Amino acid sequence: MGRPIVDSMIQKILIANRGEIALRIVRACRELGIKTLAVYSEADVQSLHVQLADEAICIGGPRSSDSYLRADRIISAAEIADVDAIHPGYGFLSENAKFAEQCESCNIKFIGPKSKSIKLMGDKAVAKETVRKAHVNTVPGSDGPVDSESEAVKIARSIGYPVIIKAVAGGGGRGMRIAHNDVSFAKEYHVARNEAEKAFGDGRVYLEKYIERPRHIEFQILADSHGKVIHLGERDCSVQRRHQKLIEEAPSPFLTPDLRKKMGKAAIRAAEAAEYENAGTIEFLVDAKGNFYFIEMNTRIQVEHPVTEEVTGIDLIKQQISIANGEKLEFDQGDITFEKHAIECRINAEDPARNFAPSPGTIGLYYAPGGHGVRIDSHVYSGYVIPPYYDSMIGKLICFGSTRKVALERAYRALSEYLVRGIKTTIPLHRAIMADPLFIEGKATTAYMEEFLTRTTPELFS
Amino acid sequence: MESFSPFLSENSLIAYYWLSFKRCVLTFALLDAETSSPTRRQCVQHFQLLPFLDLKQIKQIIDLMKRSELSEFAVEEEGFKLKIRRGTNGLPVVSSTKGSNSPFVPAESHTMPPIPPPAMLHSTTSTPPIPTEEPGIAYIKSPMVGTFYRSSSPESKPFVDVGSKIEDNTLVCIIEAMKIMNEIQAETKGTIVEILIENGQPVEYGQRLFKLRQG
Repeated sequence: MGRPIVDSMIQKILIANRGEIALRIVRACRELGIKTLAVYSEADVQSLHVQLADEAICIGGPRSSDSYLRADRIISAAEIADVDAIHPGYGFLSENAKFAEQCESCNIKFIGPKSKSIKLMGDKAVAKETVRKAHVNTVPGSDGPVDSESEAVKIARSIGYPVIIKAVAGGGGRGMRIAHNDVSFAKEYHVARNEAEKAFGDGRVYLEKYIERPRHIEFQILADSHGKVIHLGERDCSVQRRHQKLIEEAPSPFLTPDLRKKMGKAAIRAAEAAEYENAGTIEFLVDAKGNFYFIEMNTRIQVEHPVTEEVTGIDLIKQQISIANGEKLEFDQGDITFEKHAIECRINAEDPARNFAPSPGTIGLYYAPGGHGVRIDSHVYSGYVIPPYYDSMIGKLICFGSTRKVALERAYRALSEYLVRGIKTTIPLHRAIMADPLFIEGKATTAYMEEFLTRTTPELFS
Repeated sequence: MESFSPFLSENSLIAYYWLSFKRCVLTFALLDAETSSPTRRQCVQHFQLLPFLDLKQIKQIIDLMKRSELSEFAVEEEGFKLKIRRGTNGLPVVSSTKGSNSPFVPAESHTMPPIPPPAMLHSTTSTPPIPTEEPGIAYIKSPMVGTFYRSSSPESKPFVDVGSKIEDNTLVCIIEAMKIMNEIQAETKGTIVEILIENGQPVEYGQRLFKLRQG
């Protein structure tokens, strides 16, 4: 529909993911006239994107390790269905350099960066070293993995406590421990190494100065295969619980236009240093004085991409597909404007009144809010059974408006209409945050969530 | 006799079950996923026919169905036909007809939005796999995604045929995945009664390849 199909263009895409992002990709493909192949586990037969895709192939049992992480079965499915490209979504194999390499060698276009960029930025210590060479500020730290406890303690003292111990192969907030002094350092060091070994198969750790009460501000990058790299502004993701993002907004209530310009340029330099192509995100920590430090690069599309889409008007998934098609980016940095304010709430099947205990099961009545400036990215529906094998996110509510005040009030209104019966969700928690004076003031740092939870009662979440 | 709206559940599988409730002819139906039209097969055993069933007996049947894996029960005799089939929400739905069966989906069903299902890779049933109650019957399922071949090369004989006796380590087929020919072993004992996939057909994980009678 619409555009003329040329032989070299992508005509069929395999979606190597599930849930809301798989649905998001199916939708973009439908609008572009591209055929879709959904690969799914036995637990996801009734999934919405499987029903909407043009074709579907079962690739394994319910566990991710037996399905969505099985690169061999996914590539096999790609071959028998004769797809041109694979979109890996986020999580699963999206940042697996080996998988990207396998696609490249099978002549299937991996919708994302080249495997070498994934490898480079996947090692957090190497990533820091790479961007430092491009004059991007990084958090003072060990400049690479630490070889021994004694070396680690020495570095910790020279950086100055508190320090954070991070897994080299980690990311997404996992595999991190904080030490406030020599005594706790010894214990946290060994715990971090053990956890890293277990979770990522790589026990190496590196150290960083722990910046207290920072803001987490990340920049969206788009780079084509012709050398153009631009940024689409920032997202403030400071509201997190145990390093998992709950709320994201754009623009950040903290950044001044000057700081935005400086950070945007730094983000572009970092992406260029990685020889980046396609969509990616540069994450920074920003302290109260406006000093910013690179922490990592996410070489994939992110959960919170809709926030940037609503503020800039640019469809990021479609951009990913055009870039993979070899097309040039049709806009320059000067064309990017930030017209609105957008805020996203991640809705999880968890009970905030019971320490966020997961709440899988069957959704009874499901009614999603609507109206001006309300967007829902969700794969669930009335009667849907949430499988217990995957993450607990059931959808994202994105509200936007001409100002931050309008966006927040709209989010509050939309959350009040949002009905998900039969399971517990974090909807009441988000609603309480939208009404919280500290959050409304725009003062939230990464310390906000823990502090908010201590001054609220579980009753607030029912 | 009360009559209810029949409720067609797509992709239902055969389940037949020995009822201690005697004196009826058991019929079971396999619903072909593609056409959703029942193909009938006569059950092995016959019992003495009843003149009719009263409401109490129908309630007993419904109760029995609820407590078992049975998905369909039908009674047929001259001038009277009764069918009870499991609906998509798992509860039996009763229909009694004097003429043709015209199954339709009632307006109140909303477990899924009414979207036509995608072109599944194969023509037999798609998942979720419903455990078959056919006694002594088992299936060899594909452990991977790829292309099914019955022999090691186009010129060779197939590894197995209908009637072949197989052991755990019998090589039954090859599934080609990413240019690698994977030899698939039976991992069960029995006699092949049906070959469900054509030579050269793509298969997905969990797809049934061979039907066999165990033992």
